[in-house]
Order: sequence, then C-alpha cells, then structure tokens
Amino acid sequence: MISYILSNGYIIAIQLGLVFGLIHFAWSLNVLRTGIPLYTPQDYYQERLKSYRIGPDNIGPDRVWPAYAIRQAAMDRAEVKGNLKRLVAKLWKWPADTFFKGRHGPRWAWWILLFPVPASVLLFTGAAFLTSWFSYWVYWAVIFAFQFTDKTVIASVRVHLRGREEKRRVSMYTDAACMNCLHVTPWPAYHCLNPNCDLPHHQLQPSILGTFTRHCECGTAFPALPSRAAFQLKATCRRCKGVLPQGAGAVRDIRVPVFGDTSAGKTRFLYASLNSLVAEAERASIPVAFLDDSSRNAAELGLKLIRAGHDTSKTPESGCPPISLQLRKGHDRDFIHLFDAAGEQYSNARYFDDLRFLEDGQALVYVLDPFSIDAVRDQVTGSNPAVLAAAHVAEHNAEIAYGEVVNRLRGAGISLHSQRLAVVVSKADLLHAAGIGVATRSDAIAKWLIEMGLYNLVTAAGREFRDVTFFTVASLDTATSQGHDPGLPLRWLLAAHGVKVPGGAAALSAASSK
Amino acid sequence: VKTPQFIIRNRIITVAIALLIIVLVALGDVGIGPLSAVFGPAAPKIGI
Repeated sequence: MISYILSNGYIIAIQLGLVFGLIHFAWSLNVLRTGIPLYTPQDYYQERLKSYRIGPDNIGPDRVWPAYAIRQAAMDRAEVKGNLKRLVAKLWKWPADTFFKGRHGPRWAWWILLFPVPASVLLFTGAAFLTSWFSYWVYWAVIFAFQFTDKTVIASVRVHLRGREEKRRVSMYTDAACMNCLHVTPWPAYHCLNPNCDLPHHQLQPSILGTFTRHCECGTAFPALPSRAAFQLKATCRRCKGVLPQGAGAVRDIRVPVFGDTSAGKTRFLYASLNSLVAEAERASIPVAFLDDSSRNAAELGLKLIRAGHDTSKTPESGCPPISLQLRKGHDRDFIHLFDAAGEQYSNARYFDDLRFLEDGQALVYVLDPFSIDAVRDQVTGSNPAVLAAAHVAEHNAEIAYGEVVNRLRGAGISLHSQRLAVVVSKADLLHAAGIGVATRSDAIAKWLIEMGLYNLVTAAGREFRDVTFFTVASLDTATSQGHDPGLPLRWLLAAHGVKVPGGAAALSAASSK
Repeated sequence: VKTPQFIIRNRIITVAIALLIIVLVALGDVGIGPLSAVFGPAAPKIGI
C-alpha cells in the first residue's frame, strides 16, 4: 500500500483533486438553498413600468413571478459562480501563501527539500480547480440551454397559444360583456385563486410570466390560458370592476339588441321570443339560468304576461336593464344578452350613451310595425278600424328608427358587413285579423314590404348587413302564430353565431331556403 | 420574500441535469456508460 502510494503519489493527488473538485462544486451549489436575491414580482413591475404607459383605466402591469429562465436563472448562476470563486480562493490560500509567498517557512525549503509536498498539493488543488470550474461550466451550459429554449421553442409555443386563444375568441364570440356598465372587453380581469390575495390579473395570456401556468405575487398558481382560467378564477369588468359570471371571456357571449320605433312591439317580441326559447330549451332538457337578479325579475314578469296573454307594459323612457341568460352548464355554456330600449331613446340625443349596447351587439333585431306603413294603414282604416285601434300603431315612419340606428353604428365605425339583421314584422296576428295575407318566407315578406313602399329600407338592409332575414311574428295571439313563431328570429340569430340552440338548425335552414 | 415552489423546482431540475452530465462524463472517462465512446479509453484519439 505504502509502496503504491509512493510510486503513484502524484496520480493519487490528481485523482483526489478531481473528486474534491466535484465536491467543491456541489458545495458551491449550497448557496441556492440560502436567501439569495430573487427577481420578485415587484422588481418585474418596476422594470415594466419604464416602458408601460398606464392609461386612464389605471391598469398597470400584472404583479406576477416571471418564468425562471427570464432572470432568476441568471441570478442563481451568478450566485453559484461567486460562491465557487470564494471556495476556490479559500482552497488556494494556504498553498499560495506557503509555496509562492513564503509565509510558512522559506520557499526554497519547500521547493528543494520537500519538493514532493508542494508538487502533490499543487496537483491536488489544480485538479480540484479544473474539475470544479468544469462542473460550473456544465451548470452554466444547462442554464444557457434553458434560456435559449425559453427564447426560441417555448417563445414560439407561447405565440402559438396566444394565437389559438385569439382565434378562439374571434370565432366563438367570447368577448366578455359587463351588463353593469355595458363595457365589452376581449379579456376581462381574472383574480388570483387565493381568497386572501384576490389580486386582479389584467393581461392573462401565455407570456414570459408563464406559458401554461402563472404564479401570482402571493405564490398561488393558476392557468395562464384565459380559456381555462375563466372557469376557475373570478372575472371582473376592466372598467367598472363589477363581477362577471363564471366563464366570462371563454364562453360564447352573444348580445342581441332589439330596436325599432315606439310601440312597434319590441318588448312584446323580446319576451315572446324569450318564452319560445325557454320552452324549446325545456323540451330539449337544456338548463336555462338568468345571470343576475334584475334579469331574472324582469324575465319572470315578462314571461308571466306573455303566458297569460296579457299586454306588456310600455318600456319606460329611461330604459330597462338587459336580460342576460345562460344556456347549458359547464364549459359549453352560452351567454345571451337581450337588449330593449324605449323607442323614444333612439330619437333623443340625451340617451345616446344609454344605447351603447347597439355598438357591441353582434346580432340585431329590427322590429317593424306593419301598421306604421301608410299603405297598410290605408287598407285597414276603411275595412277594419277596430284592428287599427287594437294595434297601438307605432308613432313614426318605419324607416326612421332603422336609419337612426344604422347611422349611429356607421358613425361609431362599426362594420355592418360583419353583423346579421333580423327584420321582424310584428303584429302578424292583427294583419290576419284585418284580412291581409301575411307571408312567412323571407323573400316573400321582403317583396311584400317593397310593394307596401319600403323599397329603400329593404334594399338598404340587404346591402348594408352581412345577412338579412325577414320574419313575420305574432307575439300576442299564440293561437294564430302558426308560421309566425316569435322565437324563430332569435333562434336564427343565435344559431348563426354558433349557439347550439334547440331548433336553431331548423331556423338556419329555414332562413337559408327563404 | 419566500422563494416560490416553482423556482425551487426549476433550481433542482437545472442542478440535477448538470450533475447528471458531470457524472456521465466522469463515468465515460473511465470507460463506463453512454459517454465512454466519447471520453473513455476506447474513444478515437484526436490531436497530434
């Protein structure tokens, strides 16, 4: 054994040095277990503020832990390097002091009389030095590979995921609508899962703050994809901070404004179509729920009147809240918002802001009172004045309400070519009673309206909107509503926007065959 | 500030990968393991 050591002393010193270098490096990693500096959400926030302009909504960058490879990995590597330098300096201190600086006896004595000692020690420390730094550079390369992958492969995955989310948003009409302030936003704010934190996250998307998972300032993890987070986190409106229903920003959200002249039958039509939709859903065992108390109360009252065959009351000039309902449960639920406004609001500039829902609606319903058409009124006045009295004829020319809404939409820069319009000729039951034959096919209804003098309205609507279908509905006397189902226009609009509504396919095919 | 779990997890992963590579190189140097063909005695000699 002794002879082996004597004959292979230098080799043993080198081998021991190699092993010790590995231990040395492992020891330097110990610094990662201590409280080394962290790149905190606050640091990220302050850094982002330099290039982020906070708008009037006072929404700043999100306070989130950035992904490890972004900064923390480099900070960890620097700490390990610093620690390794200190350890190597410690290791070299005694040999350097002894063999090169002469602090532990004369140097010549070490190098001439005890040559094997400095040689073995220096071989040991040299091997340890090389191994520890080789190990560090392997660690450096691993971190670099992490960062490189993050900036190339993972970054492209993030772009792909963001694109997929955006495509889903556009194709499924998932923009979140707040029924409190009528603000529509592509992505609402999602709040941290931790009830003690509840921090809002306004830019929840796959990013350097997390590709699939995001870590809030409080450390709580949640999905970084809005299509997944919407079903787990609380969503709020970015403008009024009101709470949105679960799934907002990820489920189909269709807004249907109903417009028309005063006494055209908008409110009646709205509740009659809602009644038809609810009945069809019940038959198909599809759960229907109202999204807020005001919707529930208004709908219950309206549906009660419709089912009892009573007249609906006139919409107050100050307007009424939208009716928001949810079809189905779970991830394939759909939100539907029905808007109604008093006819006076369309012709009064005072209510301009109250009609903001017109600009955000994807599917419009124009309710046209046939008795407001001069030619029809002339026919009925002589032959059947009682019908005319029962009709509560709309106040203005049928084209005025249409023109006001279309002009407003155009003025707001809304592309009408992307919207669908259902032109609903109301009071079909009264037309029957007056002895006027009422068509049920869209092209026949359009032809009849042209014959009655509404050539401009019919041609303009066909030219301006992406898709126009004409309907005749009987909302009061359901016994005569054969072929004039008030639910048909709503089902057509919803089905055209991808809502799996009962009877929707039939409504679509009926409209396309017209 | 408490270090979040995901940072600790990432540190463990990076260190583990680095140590694995080092161990494989060391083993390869003595002719054991997948890197022995590169670093071992049987590896092709490069240089002068």
